[in-house]
Amino acid sequence: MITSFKMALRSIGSNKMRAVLTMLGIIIGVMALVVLVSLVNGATTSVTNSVSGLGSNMISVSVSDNKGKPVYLDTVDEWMAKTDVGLIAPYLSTTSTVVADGESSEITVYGVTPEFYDVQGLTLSMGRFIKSSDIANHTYVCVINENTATEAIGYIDCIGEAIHIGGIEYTIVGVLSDNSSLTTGITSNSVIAYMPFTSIIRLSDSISSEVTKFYVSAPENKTIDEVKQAVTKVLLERFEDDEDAFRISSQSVLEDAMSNITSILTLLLGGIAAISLIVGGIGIMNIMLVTVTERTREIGIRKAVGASRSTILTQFLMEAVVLCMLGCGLGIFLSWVILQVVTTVVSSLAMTFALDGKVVLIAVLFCFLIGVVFGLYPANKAAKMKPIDALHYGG
Amino acid sequence: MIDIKNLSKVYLVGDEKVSALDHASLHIYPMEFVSIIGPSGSGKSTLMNIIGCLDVADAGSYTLDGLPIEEYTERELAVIRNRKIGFVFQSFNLIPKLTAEENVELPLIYQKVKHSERKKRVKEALERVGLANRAHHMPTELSGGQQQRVAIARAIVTNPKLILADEPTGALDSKTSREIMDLFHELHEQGNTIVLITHDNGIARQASRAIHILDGRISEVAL
Repeated sequence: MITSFKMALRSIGSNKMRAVLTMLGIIIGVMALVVLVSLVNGATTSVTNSVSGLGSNMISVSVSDNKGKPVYLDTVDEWMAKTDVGLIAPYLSTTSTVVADGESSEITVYGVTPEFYDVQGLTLSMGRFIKSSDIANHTYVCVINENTATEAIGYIDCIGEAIHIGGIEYTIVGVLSDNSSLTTGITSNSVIAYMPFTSIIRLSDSISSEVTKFYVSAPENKTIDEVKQAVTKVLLERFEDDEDAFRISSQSVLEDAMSNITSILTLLLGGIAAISLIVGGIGIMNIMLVTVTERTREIGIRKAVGASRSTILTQFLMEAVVLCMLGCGLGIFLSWVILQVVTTVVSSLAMTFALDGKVVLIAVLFCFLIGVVFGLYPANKAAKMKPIDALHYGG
Repeated sequence: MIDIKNLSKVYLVGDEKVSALDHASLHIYPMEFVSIIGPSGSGKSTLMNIIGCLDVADAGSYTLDGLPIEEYTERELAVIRNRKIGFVFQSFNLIPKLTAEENVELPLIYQKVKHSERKKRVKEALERVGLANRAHHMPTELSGGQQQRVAIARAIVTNPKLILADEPTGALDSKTSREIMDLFHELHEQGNTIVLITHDNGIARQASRAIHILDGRISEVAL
């Protein structure tokens, strides 16, 4: 076995240019497979991390039919006190206009309670968030994001400044930093203000103090499903066991959908790469067939001095497999180089593209298989040659 | 050593049947130096292929060293070629990509002889043909005579029962031919059985017995 491995290496080494050209198909195939799948995996990991970083321990609830028993802030406080769910963050939202320097532009306004900050995983860059005293006193304060500060005020450090939303003057008490999580990252270009739940009611006639939408976060010792069950139980009790009165959705649904998409993407790209690997394998078979014809005489000599069919078969099969595996190794090495380069180039995105061990393993196994499958036919052709025919070939 | 009885072989050339061997019978004793002589097309190459277990006859029986050859499979014939027969060809038939040493080593590799043992026997064989100092040369770096010596070293390295030489001097000049023939005489004196195929009477006469072949028929000629 070792001897035939050495023989194969020698034979490949004796025609390096041809060997490299033959391996090119496999090299490119392996690179396509490893690089594409690793890129998808890297991107997926980084996106999934930011999604689950804020969302997976949170569910969102919306009530569509209150059955004559509307939910108010007091009710929410009661629920928080008696049930073992985490924080409940009711919110209202509306759009209004903000006037700055005589120009008015649209703004999305959220009416929230202090719990909103933790449940949504927001980060302040300065100032404070809405406090429970703001809720109790219906104060005219608001918290804005950095983008709003730039748009409406002109600079970020604007604590204590006044902002006119819907014709009412509010004092800015806090500025949220953008890019701290996926949600704020996505909304970083929007103009947003958060104000006390009790204050937003005055902004528009269409808003009432009834709670119809809220987020629930899971406490650390509970899974999201347990919280979902607990919330469902409470809501069913209140709304006469009518499941259609409210809707609960969790971010894990989003995560599931995403992992579905990425696994399909991985499969698709992997499939394309596999096709190019097979093409590479056909290249190997071609060259092996040429090699067998070229070396007919050598096969004859080997058979004359005692090589059996299986010995010749092993020799040529070994050559095909070694050729494939060399190509595979080179391909993996080049993939690693490419991934390193990509990681450095897109380092601003904070994504790391590492060689995926599983993909490498699959590539190696696949290459081996291709070597065997496409090497078998030429090797068998060599093995079946009659010694006299082979000896008298070409003189 | 070799016992051939009523051996026949027919080739199909186009639509025509050509009888290369026609009821040939032959007996060769151990430690004999026999030459088989005949003009080209006489069937001597066919005879040599059959004796060398490279080809099988259509009819008749062939016993080599007590083994009924026609009863063996292709796989077993490879083992017999490997262990019992050493070939020397007119065109040397060395593998051009391997050094002299590696060419000689080849049959031992197929015998699965251990590496250290292999090196020792290869060295001995090359010493016997006087080429110990050319072990690492490629065949293309050697003269015709030297290449044939390497081929002879390859033939004797397995200590075969029979050395089968097909026109070993056919591609060599007369001086080198003489040297190669001297080597064969030496091997004969050391106790090897040698069958030498040639069309050259001068070469054939050097053997202890010459067998004449013409149109596939064998007749013994006294020398």
